[in-house]
Amino acid sequence: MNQYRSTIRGRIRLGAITWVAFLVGLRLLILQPERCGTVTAQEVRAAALATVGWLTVNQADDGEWLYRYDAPAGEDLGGYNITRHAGLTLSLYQAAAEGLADALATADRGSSWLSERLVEAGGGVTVDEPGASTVPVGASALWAVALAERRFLTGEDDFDDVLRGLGTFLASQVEDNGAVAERWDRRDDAPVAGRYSVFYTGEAYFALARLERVFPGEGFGPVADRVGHYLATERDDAEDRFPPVSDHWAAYGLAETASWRGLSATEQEYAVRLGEIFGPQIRYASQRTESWFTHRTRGRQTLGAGLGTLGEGTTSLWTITQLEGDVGGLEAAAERSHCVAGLLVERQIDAVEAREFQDPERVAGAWFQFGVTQMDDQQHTLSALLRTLPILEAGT
Amino acid sequence: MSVWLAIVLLIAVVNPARRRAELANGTPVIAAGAVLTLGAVALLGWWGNGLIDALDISAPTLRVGVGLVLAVGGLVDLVRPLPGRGEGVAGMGGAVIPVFFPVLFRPELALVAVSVSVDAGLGALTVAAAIGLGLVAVPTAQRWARPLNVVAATALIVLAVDRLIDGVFAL
Repeated sequence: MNQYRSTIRGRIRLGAITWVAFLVGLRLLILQPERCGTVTAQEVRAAALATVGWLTVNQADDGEWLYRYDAPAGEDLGGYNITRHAGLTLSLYQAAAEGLADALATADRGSSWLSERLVEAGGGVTVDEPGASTVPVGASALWAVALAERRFLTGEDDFDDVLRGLGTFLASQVEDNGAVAERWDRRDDAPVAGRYSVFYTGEAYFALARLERVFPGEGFGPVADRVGHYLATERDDAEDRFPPVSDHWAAYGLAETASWRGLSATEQEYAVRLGEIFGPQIRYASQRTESWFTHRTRGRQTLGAGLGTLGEGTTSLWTITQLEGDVGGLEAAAERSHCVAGLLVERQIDAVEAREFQDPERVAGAWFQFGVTQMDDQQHTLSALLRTLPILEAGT
Repeated sequence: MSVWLAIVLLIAVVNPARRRAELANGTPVIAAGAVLTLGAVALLGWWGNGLIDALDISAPTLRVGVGLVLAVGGLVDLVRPLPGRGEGVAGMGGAVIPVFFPVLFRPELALVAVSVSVDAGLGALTVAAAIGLGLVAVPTAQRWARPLNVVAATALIVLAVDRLIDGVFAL
């Protein structure tokens, strides 16, 4: 009888231990909470406005921004990057399109800085990088997108010649198979052969696709299609990129293309594949906190710029669903975009937190990792927040 | 997730031949325990979306969890010998102990129940669980228990990989 009871008791005890160990282990190691939070359009707009504030305060009279800043040390770490400058100009025109105060004037100062660096190249114009023998195409691509954004907003055609010139230059960098040469050689007035960038190809795709919307039928669309096809079918293999590139610029390009024609099956499949790249990164990033435990089980929190690019990617995929319907489950992009916006709002340094630092104006409204912020932390986060607004306002 | 996939998944995670091997109870008692388990599974499934919301887990992350757990469970079932028949409460009380707990209502089944409910719906879960648990009540000849266990464990590993991939590469 005793043995009978102990056997039953033993089975129950073992069963109970198994349940407890299973649930605790599962929660601690595998199913950690995704701390996306819940944000409203009002909170997202306020966060974006604070970022525009940072960009306005931290812009020099000539239009150049504070590039890299160590908040605890109160130290300007120097450096600069013209592609990021152009990207930030785009983000600010996006902010202006959402009606955020000061954004247009700040963006225009950024454009002035770029316009002073224009040189003839590839039959058109490019943004030059003084002192360098070769020039990256990214700045020209992102500034073209930015100026087109300005044109949509203001209706002004002041920059049309520059836009066409940038488009002509970008088209000259595109190879027959759709690959985009990373740099232009000033001496030969020709693309530097055999060098390709992780992101410039997507940026050129976005720019050329947008130029087709601005100047329909002027030849930019077919070049954009060639780049898009290359990105969708060849790029990762041809450029030996593994894992596949988490290319938010390509997502922008697809969304832009979908605004003037329906996406092909190949392009739709590529959009779905991009979603498969963005989604897991967002879920993983949302599990990271500043706690000792998640540092060891999930790693440290990602850069604001990194998180922002994911939001730019998913918001672009959501835009595609608005134009093409739910392609391959892309409607989940709305939920992922909410998540990124929630994380960004929660991690942004607000005015109260900024007071703890030596120079609050260089801190408030920005995103930091290890106490350091860089211009692109504000660029990608601002764009991601702004592009989440229509999703929140649509109630999806 | 289709209903068919849900059915195969539930049969594999229940592993009827292995569970039956653990039970010394008669068929009516096992059937009663299976019904009890079905009720618990359906309850969990009904709560599924609310539960993962409360835990701040997305459906894809849950799928990843299911995949990892089932992969380990499948490997363990594949390499470990069939368990012997343990003791339990006599009579219909045996439907609760040991049939319902600890033999049939296991944590991996609970996890799969929530995931299937979230991905395929409560109806699909209920049908699939009824089939999987119902098979435990079907007497199995001793000589078939081992091969059926191998089939279920192998299927579980394959399905675990499927769930894992589906979870990791989801938007």
